[in-house]
Amino acid sequence: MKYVNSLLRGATITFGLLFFALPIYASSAFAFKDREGNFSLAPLQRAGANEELMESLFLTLQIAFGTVVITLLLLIPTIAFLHLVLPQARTFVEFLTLTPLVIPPIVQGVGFLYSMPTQLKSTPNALIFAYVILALPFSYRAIDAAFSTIDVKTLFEASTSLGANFFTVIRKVIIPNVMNGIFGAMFLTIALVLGEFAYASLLLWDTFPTQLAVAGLSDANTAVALSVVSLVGVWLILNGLTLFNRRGTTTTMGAL
Amino acid sequence: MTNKVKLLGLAPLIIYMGIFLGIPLITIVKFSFLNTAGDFTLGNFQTISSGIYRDAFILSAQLSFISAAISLFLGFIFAYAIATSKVLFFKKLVATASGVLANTGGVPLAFMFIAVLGTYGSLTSWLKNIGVELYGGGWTIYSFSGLLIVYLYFQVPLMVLLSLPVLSNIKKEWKDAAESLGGSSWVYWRRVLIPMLMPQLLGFFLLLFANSFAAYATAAALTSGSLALVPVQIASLIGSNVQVDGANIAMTLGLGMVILVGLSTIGYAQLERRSSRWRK
Amino acid sequence: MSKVVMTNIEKSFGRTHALRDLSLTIPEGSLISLLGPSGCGKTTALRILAGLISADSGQTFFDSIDITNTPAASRDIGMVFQAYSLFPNMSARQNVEFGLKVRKVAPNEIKRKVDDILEITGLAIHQEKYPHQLSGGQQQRTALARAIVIRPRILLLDEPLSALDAQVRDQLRDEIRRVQLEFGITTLFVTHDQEEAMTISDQVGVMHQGSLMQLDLPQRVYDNPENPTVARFIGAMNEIPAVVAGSSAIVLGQRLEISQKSEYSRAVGQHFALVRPEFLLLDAENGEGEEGTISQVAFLGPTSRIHVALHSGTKVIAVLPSAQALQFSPQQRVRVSIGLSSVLVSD
Repeated sequence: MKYVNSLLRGATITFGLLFFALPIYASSAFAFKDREGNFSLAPLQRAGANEELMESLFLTLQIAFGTVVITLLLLIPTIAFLHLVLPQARTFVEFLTLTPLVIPPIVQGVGFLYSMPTQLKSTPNALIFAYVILALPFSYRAIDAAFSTIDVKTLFEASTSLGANFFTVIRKVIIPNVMNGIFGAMFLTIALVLGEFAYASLLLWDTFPTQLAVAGLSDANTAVALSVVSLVGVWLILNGLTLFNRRGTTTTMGAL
Repeated sequence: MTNKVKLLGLAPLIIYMGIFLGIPLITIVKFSFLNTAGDFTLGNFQTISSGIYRDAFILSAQLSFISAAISLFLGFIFAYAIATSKVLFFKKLVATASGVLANTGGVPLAFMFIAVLGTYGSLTSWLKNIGVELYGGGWTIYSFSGLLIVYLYFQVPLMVLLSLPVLSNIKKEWKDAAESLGGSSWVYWRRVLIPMLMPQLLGFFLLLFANSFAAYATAAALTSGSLALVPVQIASLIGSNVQVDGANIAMTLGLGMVILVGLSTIGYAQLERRSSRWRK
Repeated sequence: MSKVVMTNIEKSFGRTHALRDLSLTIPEGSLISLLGPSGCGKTTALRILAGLISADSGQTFFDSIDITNTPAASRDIGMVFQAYSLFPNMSARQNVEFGLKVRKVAPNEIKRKVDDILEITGLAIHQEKYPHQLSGGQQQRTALARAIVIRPRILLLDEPLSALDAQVRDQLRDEIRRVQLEFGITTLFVTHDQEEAMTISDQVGVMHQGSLMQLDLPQRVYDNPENPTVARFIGAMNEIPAVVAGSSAIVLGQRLEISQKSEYSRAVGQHFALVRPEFLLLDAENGEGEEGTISQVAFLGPTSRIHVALHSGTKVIAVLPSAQALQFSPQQRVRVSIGLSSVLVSD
């Protein structure tokens, strides 16, 4: 019986890993080859030479950076405030930050397009403001979960009693203790920005995903190679982050 | 400090959400009740409840329902195997891989599947070599079932992400107790595990349904709009200038989606609350 | 209800040797405790008996039927865990019904049996409650009812009381014994709590580093420990310097026989005698024994505990009936001697 169970578990895991790995393997086999069918990194070199694609990648990274900065600036003080001063409002804010999930990105994008002033829409940075909202349900939960595992109030009182001022406490005591949540929020936000398509295509900005879609029409190998590299790359970076941050951020990712 | 003064601490978040989520949403609602001349009308709702728009809702619902059902099943089984496995290393790798696929998936997944199962895809040619002609009977990766396969690659990971924390709350004692009382693994699943998780599983189903309904990138990149899902319709109405009342119709479709996804989410929240009855 | 026998059980987890050549017989209808600190292998032994894990070697028998390879689900056992073992989605009653339903017992039979057991365990008024609505004691009572309603061949109790408050713990402990005797269920009880083991068991087995050191009546484990390890683990023990010479030892100036069960490395020289507090005699006059000063007198009700710092530097504890302890007070000089003819000596 025990034996059958572990056999079943092994089979399921093998099947699951194949499920994930097979398309990655098969699409790599498709993309990374030259005209004669030999292994080649030429598609990636072509991608590197494609200026529009590279520009879009830099733009997307810039947007990701901006989104992370605004998200943290907005959320860390708010969540610290909620835990310290207004714990009775936590349920309400939790509900509030879930609302972006109810409004599909494409719908938000249309509303954004028809309501925001032209000055804002005329720069790709407009996407930053939108992406903060899109990432909010995940980023809020990741940071809030980290705050919930520590007793902010007691930590605050203890350090104040030892003579630390407000900002010292935040910087030296609170932030280091919620670092895993911050990492989780950062990662989720970056992952979301790197893949966001609906908003960018509606607002006609050439971000990495929209340029990737364009590239797919002309050079399939390059598009596929970039797809594989971007997914595997983000995955490796995330694993690097969780290694670096021993307490692990993966559980907060599921904290929906 | 009175509570009103305290609420000021929430002002930055609330103002931010008001501007970048509230105003777009109000715009959607407003346009849905206006005609091109700017007068009040319910005609938009009439338009979207018939013809191609009605079909779009049906198609989206079918795709979402089937993909949610399959990924609920596969994702849960896989998450269970991972959660009960002793190899912690796997757990982490699978969780992070699921995070990437569920969040970044969209466009890259579409291209990867063109490479795997497209007309000249590597799996397609391999199957051809062993005598299975995928494209013989008119099937393509750009069809409904093709899109469904690709959707599973972000839906199953989402289900894994949702299930892992839930499964970590399952006590080992429950399985031991069931076994000691004469219950096989099958009895444990049927009589204990599944009934215990039923409300949550139904909640996850609704969440998966909503996620699939809202997804746009994969369908856009894979089918270039040939499968008329609701998000695809919205985007094409906004992108073309052919239809005069395009924006109004698009926003009405959007409102329809918000209502549908909203209802699913409320259902999810209700079920989540019911299941917490057993949790301490 | 069966006689249960385990023979030559070995079990390792990786490098840890959890059980070494364990053999154990539980007579039909009796309650045996396995007692030891955490990590001594007692829970491993119980789980092997349950069939939840399998031994590396050795055999298990229920009534001389070899069940070594029988899965847990087919062994007809009842098991109570430390905590959290009730199915959270079922009411107390549904939890108790589970084992009977799995065995496809007829509905009216289930009703009768469950009603009976809920009555006996005092759970009738709580039967519709869900586990999270029950107190810790009620939860464990439900777990007990669930385990015995199937009339198991053996009842396995894995530290069922350790998560409970002191008062509830004592009450439930006595209740477990009452029910066990009433049904005559062969029972294995695993605990790290001596008092628990001593009060409810027919026999107590002391475990240490994967080995069963002694299996005996509670009183014999206490009075006649098999070796110094058991002696030190059970009850309080004074360790008094002793000089060994041949078959006797000089302790507190007295020459005493060395007990057969002593274990020490050198035939001659400095060792320790293990003496229980109640066997130390205190004398206010100039009698026999070594001189010391009382540092503390603690009143415990029927008995009192007296701490004495011997002038040689050793600190000892004596327990006397409180009436006798009245004559002693802190700072008083006393003479300490041993009221035994033979002592256990150890390194």
